Amino acid sequence: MDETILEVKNLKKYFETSYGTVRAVDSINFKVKRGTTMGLVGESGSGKSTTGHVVVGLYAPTAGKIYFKGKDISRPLEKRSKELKKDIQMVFQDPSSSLNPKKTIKDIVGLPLKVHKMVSTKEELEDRVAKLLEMVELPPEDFMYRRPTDLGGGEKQAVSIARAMATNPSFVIFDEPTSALDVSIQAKIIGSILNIQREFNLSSLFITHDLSLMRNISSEVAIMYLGKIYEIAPTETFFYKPLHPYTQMLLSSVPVLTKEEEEIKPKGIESRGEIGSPIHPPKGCRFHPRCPYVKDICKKKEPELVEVEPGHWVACHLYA
Amino acid sequence: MFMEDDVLLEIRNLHVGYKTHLGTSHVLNGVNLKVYKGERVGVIGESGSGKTTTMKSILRILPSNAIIMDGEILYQGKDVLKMKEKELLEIRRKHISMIFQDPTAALNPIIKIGELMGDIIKYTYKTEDKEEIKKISLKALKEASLPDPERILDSYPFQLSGGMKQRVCIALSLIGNREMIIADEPTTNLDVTIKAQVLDILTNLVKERNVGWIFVSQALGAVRENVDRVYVMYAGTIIESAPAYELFENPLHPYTQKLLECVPKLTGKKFAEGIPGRIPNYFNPPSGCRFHPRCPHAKEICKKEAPEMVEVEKGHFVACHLYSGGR
Repeated sequence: MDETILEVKNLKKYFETSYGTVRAVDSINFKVKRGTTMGLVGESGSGKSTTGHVVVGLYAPTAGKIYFKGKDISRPLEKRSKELKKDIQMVFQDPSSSLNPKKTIKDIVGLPLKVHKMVSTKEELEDRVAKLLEMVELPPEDFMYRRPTDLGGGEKQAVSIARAMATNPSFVIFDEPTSALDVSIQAKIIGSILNIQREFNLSSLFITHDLSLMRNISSEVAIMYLGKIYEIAPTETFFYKPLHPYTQMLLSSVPVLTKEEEEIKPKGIESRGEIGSPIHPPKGCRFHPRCPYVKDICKKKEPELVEVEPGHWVACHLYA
Repeated sequence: MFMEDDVLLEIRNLHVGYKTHLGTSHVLNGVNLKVYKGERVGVIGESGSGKTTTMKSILRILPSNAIIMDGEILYQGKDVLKMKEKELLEIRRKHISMIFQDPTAALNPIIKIGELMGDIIKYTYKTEDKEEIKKISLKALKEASLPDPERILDSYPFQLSGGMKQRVCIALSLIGNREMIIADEPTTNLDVTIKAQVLDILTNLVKERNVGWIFVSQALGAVRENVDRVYVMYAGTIIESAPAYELFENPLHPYTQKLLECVPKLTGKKFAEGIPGRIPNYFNPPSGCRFHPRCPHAKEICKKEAPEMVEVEKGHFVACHLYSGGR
């Protein structure tokens, strides 16, 4: 089962603004294997959400290619086939703004079923919606006819997940699905996501800035900074053997609850500086103004992503 | 470590509710909390547990539909709840300052940082001397580790990043040697690396100046690493308090235990799948222990009687019938 389901090649997404060109995603490459979860981490402004949006088709890429199940899908939603739209779904960060407040939960979860003609009778629709709600642990009899405004944040996010799963997608993008939720509710939602992934052999892209959460949900992690990927590694390796100074800085900044966790945190590196502007990113390595190991070459030449051990890629002159 | 006569703030049996068109909700149900001089205190709990209501009561900045039903808030021995407006202003201007969650909302968008700081300095130091005001402003900004303070004084809030704005708020809160700072989720809106930076600056300043500090947060790890003692709130009551490391190593209340289990760990150790149920409705809160409908250990007594706070180990207090007969 080492088959690649999604491949992103030299993907770029620029936005034109009155201040100049925002290089939100600036030539990134990664692959997601079938049945696995690729985690994308980074600070605000690193381009991780934009990457998700381009993959799902909310924007057309500026340059580069996206291959899904071997086919080129580098185009926006309106140019994608219905079949393809069914197959890639997305769960957004803020469930309050991604669910229509006027509709009932049945309407919301049932809409994709109707659009894709997946049900033919009312009974079938009701049946399918009920199954989807059960999947996210919302008792259908209590929730079917309620509206988003009656629900708590966690329940709303569960509805978003049920809606995303309605079309039986093989790939789901989760864009910070729990960052607006309380920790006990986050635990519940993550539990449902993990169960669904296992049951349906779902492949996914999971976007978050929470590294502890990432550790528990993804098979591989890619770290983004100002539109570039600086390190990709299998999850274990990423946490126990982080190579890029930025990865180390992020990991060392995570507040933890136990002594075992403290032992994992990289020592001797401390957080400094702030993420630069994606309009005028620093020359050379974009992280160099914050890097404690900066050398002359870092200011001039952009480091290439190189494979330092099988599956572990890093873009840093320290390892070139 | 802290002496009994060094109490800076003491909240006793505080009850606060809100009047709404649905009736009156009874949110705070007898909160007791103490902060000693120079002590760093954390308050944790989920959204809706009454953390912010408690903090706003201290400065008497609750919304107009709030009703203080009972209790005392003694600041240096004087009850804030009985103070007249003039005394309250004095407290807010000279003694206690507050840092809010959203620095963008806390800073007036049409006033330059310099002017804003100038206003506060004028009141606190009773000076009109522009040179002196500028000197004090620059010093405050430097202490909050803001790079290029001259430029910041001449900037509007929108010209600064979130982390810089929050550091400006920290600088503001430290003007005039206050004895106490309340920080209500000061880093929630900031990025991971910036969170760490801002908290470092804040904790160092708090330690250096020996001010009492209440750090309210849902970020349990950040609380553990930055305070001396922690209070856990659930549904308007304090259910457990202990020295920080003790609390996280050895949580006693079933709610605290569950809450800590829900936090994803950097080691990838499996975490719990949430706590069944949700925070109660404050219009009709559960009888007895407010946690009983969600508690795996609930007994008959829990439905009838609210548990008293008992000291189970030195400095470790818990309000739960499981421990009422000692450990």
